[in-house]
Amino acid sequence: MSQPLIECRELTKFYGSKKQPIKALGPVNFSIAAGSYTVILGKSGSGKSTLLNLLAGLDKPTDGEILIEGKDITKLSQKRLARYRSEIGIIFQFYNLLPNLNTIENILMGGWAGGSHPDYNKAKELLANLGIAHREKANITTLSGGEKQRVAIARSLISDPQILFCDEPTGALDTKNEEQVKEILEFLNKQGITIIMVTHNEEFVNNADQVIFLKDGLIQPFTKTTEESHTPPKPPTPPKPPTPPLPKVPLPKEPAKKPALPHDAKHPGHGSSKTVINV
Amino acid sequence: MTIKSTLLQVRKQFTNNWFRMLLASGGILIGVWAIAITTSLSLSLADTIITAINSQPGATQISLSRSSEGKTDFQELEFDSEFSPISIAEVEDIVAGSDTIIESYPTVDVATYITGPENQESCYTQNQNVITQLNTGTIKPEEAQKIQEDFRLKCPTATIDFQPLSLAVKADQNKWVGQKFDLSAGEVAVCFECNPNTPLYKIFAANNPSDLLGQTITIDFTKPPTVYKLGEGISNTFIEEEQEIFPEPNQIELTIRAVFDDRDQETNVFQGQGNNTFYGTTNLIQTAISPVSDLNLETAGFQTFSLKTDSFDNTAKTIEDLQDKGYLAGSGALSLIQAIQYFFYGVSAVLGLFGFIALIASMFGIINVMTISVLKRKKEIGILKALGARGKDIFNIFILESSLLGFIGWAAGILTTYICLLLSSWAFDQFVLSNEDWKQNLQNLNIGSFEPVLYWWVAAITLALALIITIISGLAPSLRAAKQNPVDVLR
Amino acid sequence: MSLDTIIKIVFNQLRKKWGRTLLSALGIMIGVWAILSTVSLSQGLSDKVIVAVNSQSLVRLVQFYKTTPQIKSFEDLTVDTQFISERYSSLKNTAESIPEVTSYNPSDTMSIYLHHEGFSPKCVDSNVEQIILAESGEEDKANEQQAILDDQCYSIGTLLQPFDLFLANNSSNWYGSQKEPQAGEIALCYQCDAENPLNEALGADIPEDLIGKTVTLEYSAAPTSTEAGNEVDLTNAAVSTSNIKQSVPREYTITGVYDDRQESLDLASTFLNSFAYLNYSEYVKALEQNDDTINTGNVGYIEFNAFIDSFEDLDEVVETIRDKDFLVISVGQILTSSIKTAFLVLTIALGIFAAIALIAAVFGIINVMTISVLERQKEIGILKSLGSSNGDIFWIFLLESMILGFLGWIFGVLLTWGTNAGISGIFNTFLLNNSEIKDNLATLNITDFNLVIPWYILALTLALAVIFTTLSGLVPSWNAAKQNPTEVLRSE
Repeated sequence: MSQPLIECRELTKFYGSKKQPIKALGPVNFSIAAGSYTVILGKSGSGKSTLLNLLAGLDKPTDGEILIEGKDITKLSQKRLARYRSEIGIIFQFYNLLPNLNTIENILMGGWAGGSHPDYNKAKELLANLGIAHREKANITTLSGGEKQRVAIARSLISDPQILFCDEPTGALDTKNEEQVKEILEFLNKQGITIIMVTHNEEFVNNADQVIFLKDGLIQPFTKTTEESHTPPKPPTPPKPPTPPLPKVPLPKEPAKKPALPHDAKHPGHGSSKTVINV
Repeated sequence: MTIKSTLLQVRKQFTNNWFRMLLASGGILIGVWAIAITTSLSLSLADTIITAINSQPGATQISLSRSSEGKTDFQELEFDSEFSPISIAEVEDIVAGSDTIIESYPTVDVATYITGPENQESCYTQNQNVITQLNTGTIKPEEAQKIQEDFRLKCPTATIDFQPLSLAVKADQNKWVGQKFDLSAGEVAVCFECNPNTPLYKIFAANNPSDLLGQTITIDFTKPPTVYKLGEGISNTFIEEEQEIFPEPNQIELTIRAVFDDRDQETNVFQGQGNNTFYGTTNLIQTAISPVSDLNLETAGFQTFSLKTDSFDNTAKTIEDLQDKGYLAGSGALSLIQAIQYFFYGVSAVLGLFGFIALIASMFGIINVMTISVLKRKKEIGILKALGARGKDIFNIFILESSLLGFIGWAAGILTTYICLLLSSWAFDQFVLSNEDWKQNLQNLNIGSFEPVLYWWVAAITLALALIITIISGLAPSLRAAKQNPVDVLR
Repeated sequence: MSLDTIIKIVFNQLRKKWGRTLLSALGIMIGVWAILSTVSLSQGLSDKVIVAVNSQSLVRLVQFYKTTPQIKSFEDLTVDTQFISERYSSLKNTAESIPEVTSYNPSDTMSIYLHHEGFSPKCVDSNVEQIILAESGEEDKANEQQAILDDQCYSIGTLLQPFDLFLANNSSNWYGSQKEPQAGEIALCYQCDAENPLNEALGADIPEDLIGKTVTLEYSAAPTSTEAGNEVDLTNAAVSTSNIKQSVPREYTITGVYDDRQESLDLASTFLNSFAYLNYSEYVKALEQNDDTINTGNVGYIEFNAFIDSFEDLDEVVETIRDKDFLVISVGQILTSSIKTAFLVLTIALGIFAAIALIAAVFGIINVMTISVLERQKEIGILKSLGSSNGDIFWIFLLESMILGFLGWIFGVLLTWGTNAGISGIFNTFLLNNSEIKDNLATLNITDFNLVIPWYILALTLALAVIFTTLSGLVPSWNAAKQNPTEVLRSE
């Protein structure tokens, strides 16, 4: 891979009025490799959520560039930016499911919202793979927190995204569910999806290829007890051998028979053969 | 809850959600405005027209008759109603006994031929000759027609009106030359042109109206005026042309004392006069009837008299007094005014109905808004109840809010109406009064401006409607809020 | 977002908040109902008035004239227009060339004396004698003569017009033959003069008694026709009638009688009551009697009348006669177009007033849409995070307000159908129970009253409702679209 998947240059975001601007982020510079697992770490108010919003195309920076596969998304029209958003996946701390739709509809909406027509069976499959097939027609207000987050994950995967953004995905979950989500994310990363997660929980750092540590809106060197994390990007890691099936997630099907997420016959191979931005 | 705290809650709601409240009362605004402006404009228009009518001489004129059946209203008359003739003396008594009637005269049809300063052969006789020749077949119709045409040029006709000259002059002051006070016997006031095809001034070879003053004019009655014997009935159906013929021509010489310049005149509907009107004294009637009847001014009765009141304000009352005395009395102008009033009341009612329908339409929007408001404030209601507010208090808050919506809408509607009325008055001044011709014409009708008025009862009725509608709309949501269980919210 | 997804979301919202949807639509309903009802009523009334007018036989009369300068219609008449009297043959040719014309005649009038039985001297001579006596001052003798005349001679007028019109005007009270009287025949009024009834003079108790009877008749005054080619200025037309110079009493058979004692509702008949009808040839004879030098072929008339079968042919017939260079005046056409215009103006004016209710309802819609946007901030944010563009969000809300307008319109139409049916029903029932009014209306060809919504007003109100609601949803939808999703996605 010649260029990193994501590259940020002098990214800055100010809030407030012209007279009293409040700096939330920046300027920051970094890059993220395709297929990597990046953790954006920081306390509340550090600017991590702001950064995620900017990377996910939910907000526009005051200054700077965000290059996704070489294309600057800060220059995109709002229509094209919406297109970008439909092609990435995103999950939130408080799930953000649509209460007037049931489970399967919420998942399908992940595709509908962007104008595509996802396959119903694919949604069912996702449900099954995540162990919540029995909740297909359920009203989402009846779901537990863990179930909701899994629905959210399924929703984010319906359009075969190459990047999955996660904003404090386990912040509202109990330990058991937290573990599950953690494992799912690792699994997905092994399938080749680039994971970019915002969290204040240092434990996630263990699995991460890269840590971006924010303090007061700027990237600081990260020192952890066991590992060092630098601002310069790490070289892409060689593909890991296929991991055994995740024991804690009840999977009704045999892992061998199960087609790998998100790959299917149309997309053989490993890694991002699909470009993120089709604009 | 105390009244103060109730009001505080309501005030907070309005100030925090002023835009929403404004929108909600918008519908009420439209409805109130529609009702108020249509009522104001149409009633004010009616008033303006009535002012115009009252500016005309007809507004002070009353027709007086007596019905044999004792009817007192002209509208009660039927095709075959009978009248009872009234004498001049009797009417003079009425005038004397009334403090609002200033003049009276009989409304009698007296048509004359005008013969001019040279004493020609009597026009009457000439006419009679032609008729006889035609009837006996001595001449053909075409010949008769020719003779008639010549005859008309030589013998124009005029109608004699017995209205006192002073009154006639007052109606058109600047068109009269000569004497301004009432005529005496042997005197006459004439029109200068009378008929554009056969002008009077041609016969006299006069250039100006004043040239005619003092000259002698000879008139020939065309037929005897209709007088009746006192005590006998007059039946309307018997409109037979009683071709009473004068045994001999009855030419009369009169001195011209006043001249009316009618050269540009258009007929004034309310004055009810044609152009070719002469004014004379009632003894001319005597002269006209004596050849064919032994009645005189004391023994003759007339079907109708015209009475003149001192001001149009007094006309209605005077008519009532006369009717109480058993006479048939009425005023064309007054009937017209009544008709116009009814018409415009009708129009206001119909148009106001549309405004009412608009209010109904806005009702649904208000119910909607109030319902949503209640749903949104579940928490607030729960807290208040937990703090001791009763269901009734919650009800009061919400019902007060919805009535306030009605009030605000009403106030805005009235204000808008008021502005529109001011605008229309201004527009009238700008566009109508700026045209000098129209301005003059309107001034002749006593109309100087158009100032529509917003009647207090219109404002009151619309306020009542607005409040009723908004309170009804707010009922269901307010009850719902009142019944809410605080526990639901404060988990 | 694809269209069907947007529609799915919109309908979901409308269904979920059905109470709100219903109330909003009801407000629009009232506005639409007001407009539709007003127009239905106004148009319904207009139609009935036109039907009533067209039920009058006078509507089937077409009058035409030759003029100089040549004009074709009533509006072109000026003070300088002169009428030219035309020969009868011209009328005949024109009228007979048009199949829809059932009968025709020029306009003319004439007076006649009907002899009471057994009176031998001539009425006309008797009258002349009376006049001479009166003129020469022999009052008593004149009065005597007059009394004899009154006693023995009955004077009535005759009217020349298309016989079918005459018949139509009196058809409800007609007795005897319905064919036009020929030479030597006469159709009569039964009473003719309330003060001096003809039937009493002729000793008939019922109208049928007169049929077939013979009466002796003299022309008493010459007809009003003039020499062909003469220009006549109608304003100065002296309708001078002269007594006939020679009178020849002749016997006539009564072929038809109409009972003119009651008033009929046929408007024309109230004007034309109480005339006798003689054939056109009799008028010609009267002219000859009066002046034996006259060339009857050269007699001209100012006004020609054609009577047509049904008023539907009216416009066509008018045009055909106009093409023959006549001035054509049709009372029916003039009336119908005036009525239509008057009602159209009324309808438009009232319709605009009714639209005010629609505007009042719109405020409610704006409010509800605004609130709805505020409530659904989170939903908007989520959809945006899933890839919806601003445009998608905009349409989600705008479409909702458009559908509200459409719903309201449908309710309005339904309600109007209901009230229209109700009003029609009440009126029709009223008619059923009131046979007198029913019969009166029947003579005007009005048999029922059924309100209908004209299609063009359905389309117009639909357009208005949708346009108004769309406009009211514009600003809230735009605000929703512009929203920044970040704030709302973070919160619970």
